[in-house]
Amino acid sequence: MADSAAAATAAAAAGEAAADMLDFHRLMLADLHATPGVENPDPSTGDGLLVAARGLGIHLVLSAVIQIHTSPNVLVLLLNTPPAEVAQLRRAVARAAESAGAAAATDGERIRPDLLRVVNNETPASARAAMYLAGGVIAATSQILVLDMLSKVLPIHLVTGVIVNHAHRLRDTSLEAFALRLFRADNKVGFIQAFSEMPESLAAAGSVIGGLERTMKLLYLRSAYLWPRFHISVKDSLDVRGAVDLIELRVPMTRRMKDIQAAIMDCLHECILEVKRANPNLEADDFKVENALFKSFDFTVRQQLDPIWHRVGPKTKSLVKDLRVLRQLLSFLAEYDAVTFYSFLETILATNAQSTSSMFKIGSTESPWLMLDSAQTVFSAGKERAYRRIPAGSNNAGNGSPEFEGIPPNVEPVLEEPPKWRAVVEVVREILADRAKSGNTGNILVMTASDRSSRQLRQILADVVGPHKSAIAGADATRRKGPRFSSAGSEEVHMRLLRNYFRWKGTMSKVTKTLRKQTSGQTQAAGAGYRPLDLNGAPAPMTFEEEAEQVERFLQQAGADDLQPGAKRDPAVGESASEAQSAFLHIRSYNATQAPMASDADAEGNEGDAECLDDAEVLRRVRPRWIVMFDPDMAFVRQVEVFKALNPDEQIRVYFLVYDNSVEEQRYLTSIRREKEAFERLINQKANMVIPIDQDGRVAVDPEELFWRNVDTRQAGGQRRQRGPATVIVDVREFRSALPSLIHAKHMTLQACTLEVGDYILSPRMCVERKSIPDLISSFKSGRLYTQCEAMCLHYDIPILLIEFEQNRAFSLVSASDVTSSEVSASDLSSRISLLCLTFPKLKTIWSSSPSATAEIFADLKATEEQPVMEDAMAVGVESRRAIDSAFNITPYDVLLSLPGITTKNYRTVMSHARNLRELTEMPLEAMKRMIGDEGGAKLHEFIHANPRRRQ
Amino acid sequence: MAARLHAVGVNANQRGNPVLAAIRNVPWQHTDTPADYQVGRTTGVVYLRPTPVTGSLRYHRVHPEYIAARLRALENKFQLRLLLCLVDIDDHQQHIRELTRMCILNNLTMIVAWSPEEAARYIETLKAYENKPPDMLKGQVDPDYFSRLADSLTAIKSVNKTDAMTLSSSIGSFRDMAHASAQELQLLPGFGEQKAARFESAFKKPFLIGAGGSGLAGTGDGNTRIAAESSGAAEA
Repeated sequence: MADSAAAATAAAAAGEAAADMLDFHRLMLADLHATPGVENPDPSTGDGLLVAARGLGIHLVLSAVIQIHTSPNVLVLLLNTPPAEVAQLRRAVARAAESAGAAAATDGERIRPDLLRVVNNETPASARAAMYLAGGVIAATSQILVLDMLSKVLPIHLVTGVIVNHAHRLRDTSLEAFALRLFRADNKVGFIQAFSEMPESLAAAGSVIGGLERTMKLLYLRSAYLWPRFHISVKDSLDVRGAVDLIELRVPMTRRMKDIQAAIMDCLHECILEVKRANPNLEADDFKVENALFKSFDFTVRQQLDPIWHRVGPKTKSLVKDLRVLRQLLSFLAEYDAVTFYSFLETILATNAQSTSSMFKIGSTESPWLMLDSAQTVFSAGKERAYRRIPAGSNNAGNGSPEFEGIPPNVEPVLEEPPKWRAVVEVVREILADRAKSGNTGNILVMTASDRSSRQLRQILADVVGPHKSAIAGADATRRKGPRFSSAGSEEVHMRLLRNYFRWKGTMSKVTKTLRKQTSGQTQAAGAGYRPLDLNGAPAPMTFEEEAEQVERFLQQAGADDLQPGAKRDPAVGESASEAQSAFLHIRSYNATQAPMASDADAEGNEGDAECLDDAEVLRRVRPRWIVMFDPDMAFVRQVEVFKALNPDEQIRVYFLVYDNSVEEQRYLTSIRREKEAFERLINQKANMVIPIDQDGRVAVDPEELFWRNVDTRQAGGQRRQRGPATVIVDVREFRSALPSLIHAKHMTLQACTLEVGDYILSPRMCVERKSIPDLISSFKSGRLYTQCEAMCLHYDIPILLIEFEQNRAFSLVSASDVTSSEVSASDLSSRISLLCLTFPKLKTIWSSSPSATAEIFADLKATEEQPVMEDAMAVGVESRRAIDSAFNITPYDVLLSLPGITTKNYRTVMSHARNLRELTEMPLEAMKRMIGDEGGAKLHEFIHANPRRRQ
Repeated sequence: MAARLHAVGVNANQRGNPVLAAIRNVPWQHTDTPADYQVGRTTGVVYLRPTPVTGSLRYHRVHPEYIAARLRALENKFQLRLLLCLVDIDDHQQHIRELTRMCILNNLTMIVAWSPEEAARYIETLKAYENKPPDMLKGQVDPDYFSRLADSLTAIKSVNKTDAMTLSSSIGSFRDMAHASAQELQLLPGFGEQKAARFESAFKKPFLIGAGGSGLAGTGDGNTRIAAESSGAAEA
């Protein structure tokens, strides 16, 4: 397609789009696009990787690029973009089209939002072909794209260019990289543009050095453009015009919160020390408590431990898991209210006690941090924040009042209100006063980190702002309690949470008991159970368990049906409140885009304000005069700056709430610093990078090389064989793994289809079932491997089990310590492999240290074999033709297969009887029995309806 | 070949092999067998490591012809022919690749071990399970309810065992979980928007993707980026 036409359109459209952009956005765009009129023979024109700091509005640039290409004359593929983001982009494009509508005269230059379309697994193949030919921008699921490229449904030579979003996620084994390789192989002119807002992961991606270099290689790019916040043009744009009136409120934490935080940090520290002690050869630099506050720490740890994962003991493994839990606790401490936080703590305990003796789990131990003194502080202080136990006998007068309904008699609610709640109420009151002065105009925007807190805030603020419907009750409450709660809404929320908590706790006791009953028959008594938690001076030290039991008894006495488990969940949390919500107060969470946006969101997701907007969009719509940042977020601060710079007339005051001396604060500051450092590293890398001249892949393959590639010197004198290209038939489900991409890289042709038997067909007699190690273990456990091997042996002469290890991970099955156990045990993986060999003498095995090694082995094996035929392979093991033609969603399928009574033989029947899992659970016993047989049906029914909350 | 078949028959060339020392759970004796280890009437194991000093792949690297000779000796005497290969070098990839090809074309099943103890364990197990029916492979005898539950729920991305416990205790049966809405789920500790949405959609999504697929229809959207996401955990 005419590239020049596209470029011309580009120039025009870029001008139009610029209305909504700042100077530096325009520069970014100019970086990516050739400036018309300039003699620029550089073939990489139009190519580039754009890395910008978070919140600078890279989406503006992206949407401008997309606007340029919404024309039927071009075909641009948009990769790696989740549906919610596509929806946003579409809105942005539509808006631009609207504002430019009159100006654009000719058809060719008009922005057409209808030409940004989505191709995903639900788009039928025939429709896809038509869509590709119709042109425009197509946001496609990479998997579908790869399959279409392989099957030539997508005319690769007609593609104008590819846009890769979230480029930092690219790995050499990812499907996006595969798609790009397929694209570059057949198309030497099209452009490739990549966007990323994550300099940290780009700077660190994979290896320590050259993350950027590697990513650019995968992207077939030769130029990268870096836009940190400290970039001179960004500073020019934002520092002056974007300056907002910022008020930072440092909210002190309560004493107990501080205690808990310090204790968790202690545990974290201990855990890290312990990991270090157990693995002295680790790089100590990264193992700091400061780093442990970030998610990326997990990644660093795994990266260091993976190569020796088989040698680290179970203790280290559980420590690594604990680090994650502890980090989670730290953020929940700031985010959750006292009651929810404590119930989460209890769940952790319960799960730990429930360390059942599963087959392949060797030496699962209780998390070591639970034994620390600090952990006791966490638990006791956590509890103190929620409620206090009062000695039996002393009667609580307040107990009769309706608000105590559902709370056991010997419990006095403490309900420590998170200080931030109080702060936010104060801030909003202050704003309201201001607002009254300025004539009650202007909107207030409260931003939170999660939906949960935004819902709670909505309720808390309802009576502060709204019509004082509960004014009397509120006043009443404050009189009685003194200034314990900042607002009536807050009290309401707390009481409800506490009631729910006790209801939950009552059932928890049943759950653990029923579970215990089942496990107790087996091996060790998981009944070491809970260790007493009430170290905080409860009159009689009571174990968690006893207490739960007591609560349960109470609930039984209260006997009310409405306390029946699950019968009455709180119908509308915050819904009534949000109705009463006044029009000028908006409460949202950051990046609500990640909220439910399943494919069927239209059906019910979009009620009320559930519409997904990104932060910039929120700002644009709400046009707030006051912004309260309930949780600190770096990107949002910048977004406010950009918004302000775009709208210099707006008066904006930002209240920035942060817990003083807290992990939250530290995390915020560190995130800024880390981003800055990442950019510095990237700038450095960019300067030192060596880029091969043909990295852009535009140089045609040398025909001579192509010739030699097809020659095999094993054949006398390199005679050319008269055979088709080496072909491998691959099951479509296998495209989730890296192997197909690597097979393709070995110059074999891939044919994708749904296979009933095997994953890869190498030749009419060779069939391979691929198992990664976790797969191998789980399919041994479920018996799936047995049926799969049985089927392979039945249909193929050379059935092969491929046991594939992961790149950079240990090439070893078990840790050395595991072998030393003195007896042959049925639960060992090696025993199962032995038995499998004995059962199927015909079965061959491939042990491969990595997917790329597998690809080489495949090439070896195919050298002397005939090429497989797709039709034959698809027909193998299929009873009806119909079954071939359907593909299924992976997650529901995985869950289904893990249910009792469901086997690889009958799952298809089940799928044809029930539309989804939900429907399956509604089936009556009889129907299940009819569907999968008496025994299986009964098992399934029992599992689905088993309710540990009800004593059996 | 007049071996006592309750013992593992060991070829004389294995004398001094540390593997031999590690075989403790089954009896063994030197016999005249074409295999290195004969674990049953129909099962022969060739162990790739003939001298006391060198290790297996290490040996193979120097004497690639050895294994072919051993195989010739094996002829067609066994129904199950196993090659037990000890990996004791770091650059194993090339050798394993060659051996794999040889095994598959010569009707051998390869088993890889990483230590003499592990190799010995395979030999022991093969002997001990010689006449064992494959029931053990056909799926596990029912584990307890919670492991089952955790197993199926953790099939959903980002749901872990703690979450399974949370769900079990605050929602109840599997059926009730299947009917929980994302809103309800979000109230549970540990459940953020994303996890709640993912959980709900796992139960709500139809098993089968649109009927019109040509067999090329792909699989769940969230799953395509598994590789990318799991390693992209570096996002703060």
